[in-house]
Amino acid sequence: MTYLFWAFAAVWVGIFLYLYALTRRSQALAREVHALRERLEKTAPPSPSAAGRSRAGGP
Amino acid sequence: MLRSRDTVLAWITGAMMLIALYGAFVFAPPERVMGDIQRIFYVHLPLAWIGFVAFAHACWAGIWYLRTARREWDEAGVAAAEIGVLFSTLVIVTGSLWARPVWGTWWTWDPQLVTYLILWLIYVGYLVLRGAAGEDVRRARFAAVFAIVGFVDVPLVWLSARYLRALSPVIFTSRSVGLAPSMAWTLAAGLVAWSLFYWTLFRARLRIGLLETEVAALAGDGEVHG
Amino acid sequence: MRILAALIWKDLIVEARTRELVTSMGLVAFLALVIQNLALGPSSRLGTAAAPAVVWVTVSFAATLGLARAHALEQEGQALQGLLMTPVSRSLLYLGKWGANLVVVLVLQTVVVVATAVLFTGDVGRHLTWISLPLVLGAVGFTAIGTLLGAMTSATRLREVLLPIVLLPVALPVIMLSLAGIGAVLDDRGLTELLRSLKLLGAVDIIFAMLGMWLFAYVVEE
Repeated sequence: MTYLFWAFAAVWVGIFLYLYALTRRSQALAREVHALRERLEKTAPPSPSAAGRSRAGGP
Repeated sequence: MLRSRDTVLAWITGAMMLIALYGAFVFAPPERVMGDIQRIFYVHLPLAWIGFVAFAHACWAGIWYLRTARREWDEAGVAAAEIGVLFSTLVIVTGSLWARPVWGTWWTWDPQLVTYLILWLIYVGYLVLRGAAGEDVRRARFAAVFAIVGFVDVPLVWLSARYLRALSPVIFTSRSVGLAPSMAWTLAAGLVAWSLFYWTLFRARLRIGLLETEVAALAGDGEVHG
Repeated sequence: MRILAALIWKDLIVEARTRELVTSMGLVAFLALVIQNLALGPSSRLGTAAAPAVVWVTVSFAATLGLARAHALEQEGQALQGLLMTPVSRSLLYLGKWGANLVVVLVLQTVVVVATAVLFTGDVGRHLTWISLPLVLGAVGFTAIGTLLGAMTSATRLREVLLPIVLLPVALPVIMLSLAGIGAVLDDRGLTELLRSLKLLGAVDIIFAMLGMWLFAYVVEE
């Protein structure tokens, strides 16, 4: 029956759309983390331990 | 996006979903009166139940946010509410698609449907409120208060609708179907599967919410020092 | 108790001086009644049957507007901040606001009921005294939850627009039970029927009041 199909189709489409929206948010997050990491590497000295020390020595 | 425990959860959910799907389409017999259209029930009812549970979850998170003022509870509340909106929208859609061939109408005003419509309206109101409330602490507090008010309200709506309906009885039969054992098992499988699905979805959504606020805080710090 | 009376009196005095709320609510209500009358058409049977619904539709929207406006006014005047600095308990503040709002809505209701009776049914109704019970209890519940939600929405970006969205779904039990009570009176269904609906309505009112007293503090603190 077509109604049965459309009901199940609606359920899967709805879920898929939400999962897609979540994935996009997750990707935006990944981009931001990447940008933050780049900014950190610019303002702090390149070596990881030095970066740790300069952060601790900050205000 | 997923850690190992959540990966296991996701796989179990997937497996359960397949079992529930098999049950709904193959294992369960066609219903005597309505025929195959009744199979919507195996998706419609679990979604309705979980939608309500999601709302209870948001209310619970709201209470704990007000008590502890910890951000995790606010993020839990909005995660539960978002998924709740998704599920209740699907409940209304599947309900309409079920009602149309069976009763000849897309919508009726019986207590269950009215209550669910109000539930949906309150959820959506919750999200609109969050959108309009601005800064973090105030938004979290308002959202918590409204989640509590809304959840307390739902049983009140149901009881009032039933009382009003009892005064002027309308001739239609309720949605409940006589359940043969195979149908009951299928329904149970559906409930388990969708509960697991809710849990998986909730954890994913919660993690994203927590990460977003953490990243925003870090970015804010970056502005100050950089 | 004296503080409570003082709080209520303060809001009412402000309203009596400016009369801003009453005029705007009254005009909206009147326009709503006119539109509904025109929409229902010339059939007098339809008008009479629809009268209770018309009352509540009109009251719901006009009262929501009034509540939103009342809280917005308080925000603008920063009156709330001043009150918060006093040691008055937040529950008492809530009761004060609720009391003042209730008086305003009761006035609105009276006007709407009389106007509806005249415009829609042609006579002022023999049942007026009995109808007032479900109406008053309905106003009590509506303002109880409306005061809490109004305090919340007036502090948001959307202000007045948001209150109908959040208040009306939540206030539905009150509206439905009040309509049930009015129906019991108009259809001559007897006292027990009316009392049943009034008891349910009273219970909802109490639940809303308790929610308000508990949660108002969280809504209002900075």
